[in-house]
Amino acid sequence: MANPHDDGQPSDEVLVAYRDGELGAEESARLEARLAGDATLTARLDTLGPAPARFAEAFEPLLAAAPDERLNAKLAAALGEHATAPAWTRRPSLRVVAAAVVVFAVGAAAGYLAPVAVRPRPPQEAATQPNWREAVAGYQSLITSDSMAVISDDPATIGKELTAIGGKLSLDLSPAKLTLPDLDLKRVELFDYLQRPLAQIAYLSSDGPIAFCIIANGRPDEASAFEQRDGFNIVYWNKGGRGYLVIGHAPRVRLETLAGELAERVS
Amino acid sequence: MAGDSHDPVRQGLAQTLPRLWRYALVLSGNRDTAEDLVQATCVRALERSDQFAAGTRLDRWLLAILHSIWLNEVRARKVRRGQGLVDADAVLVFDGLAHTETNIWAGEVLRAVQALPEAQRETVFLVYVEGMSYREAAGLLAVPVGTVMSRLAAARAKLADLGSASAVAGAAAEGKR
Repeated sequence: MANPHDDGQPSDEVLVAYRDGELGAEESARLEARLAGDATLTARLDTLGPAPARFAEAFEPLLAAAPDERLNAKLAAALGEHATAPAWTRRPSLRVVAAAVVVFAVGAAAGYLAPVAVRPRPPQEAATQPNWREAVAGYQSLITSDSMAVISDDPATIGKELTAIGGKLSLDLSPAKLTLPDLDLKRVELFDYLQRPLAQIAYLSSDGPIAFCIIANGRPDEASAFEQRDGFNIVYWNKGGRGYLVIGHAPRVRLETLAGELAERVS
Repeated sequence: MAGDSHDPVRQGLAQTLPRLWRYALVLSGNRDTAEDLVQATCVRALERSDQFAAGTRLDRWLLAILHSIWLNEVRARKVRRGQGLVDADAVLVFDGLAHTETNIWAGEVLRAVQALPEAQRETVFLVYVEGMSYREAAGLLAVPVGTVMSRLAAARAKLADLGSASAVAGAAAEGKR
């Protein structure tokens, strides 16, 4: 907060807060006492620009200018999209994944990987499967190239973690299998998503962060499909009771090629 | 789906559409983007309707969702594509809206606010147009209250030549500006 007044005068922020009624009772009283005897200060108050009400007034006509018909149509479209999901489907939020991340991170810091309970899911609950991709997309939106740059990608650690995570998923995961040309393997993590282990293998590419995720979901095989969520491109498939996805902002073609390669190497 | 938790969200959405569009327009400076943002907000709000606590302010919750989509998805995509964020047509977006004599001043305010740097413009909009308290705005923007205060002070310094409340009231009354 800049205070150009070295003479003990209140800063602009204080004056603005006072004008906006955001200054506490005590501070306001103090300021008013000063205003009473200080013409310069009073003059400064007057140069603060329009009152808040004037802004609100100026922006009022925009409400009437809103394209109501088109907006209502968009709402109807959203409602239609939403209605096709079963009403009883619980859609776990990012918080569930984030909480699991914290738990896991603490466990990892203590030198062991927290055991993840794997329970077989009854078939009717398999309808919640699309949500694991939503949770992954939510988490992925926290990640940028900058945030990945600070990670130490020590190969020995990654190798150990991959072995352990592979064990949880009953998959043979090794750095050799997961190393691809023009991708930096930065980090691997294990999450718990609705009591299913979800592995995330994080890469950095020329198109930004790309993640390869595997979840033990017990679903039947499904050929690869494409979707967009939360602004990400996602290629996903199911094989051998595990869901796989590749997610990033990279072009669809690149992700599909990657997905094809990874599907061959990991099974 | 009587008693379903997404009913207040659904009803509230319909009523809040114009305000969402207005906020989206202020953020993006582009009418098409604004409509896309509103639609994305509707979808996200319905998906997350079980997170909305009945009895709390739905409008704040919806504006926060819109802001999050703008910041994490739309804005990020524009930067990545190297499409600068300052839309050359942004200022012109408001031109059709305030042409009458008495509204010329309103047009000046709209243009002046739209010309502010993004962070200040957003804060001014949330606090002065949407009427949020400093703390509410700070919460939505995920910044400290002090940051809200300095943005408002900085914005006001730029808007100072729009005149003070008393000067404007006088001019408006005379229908001159």
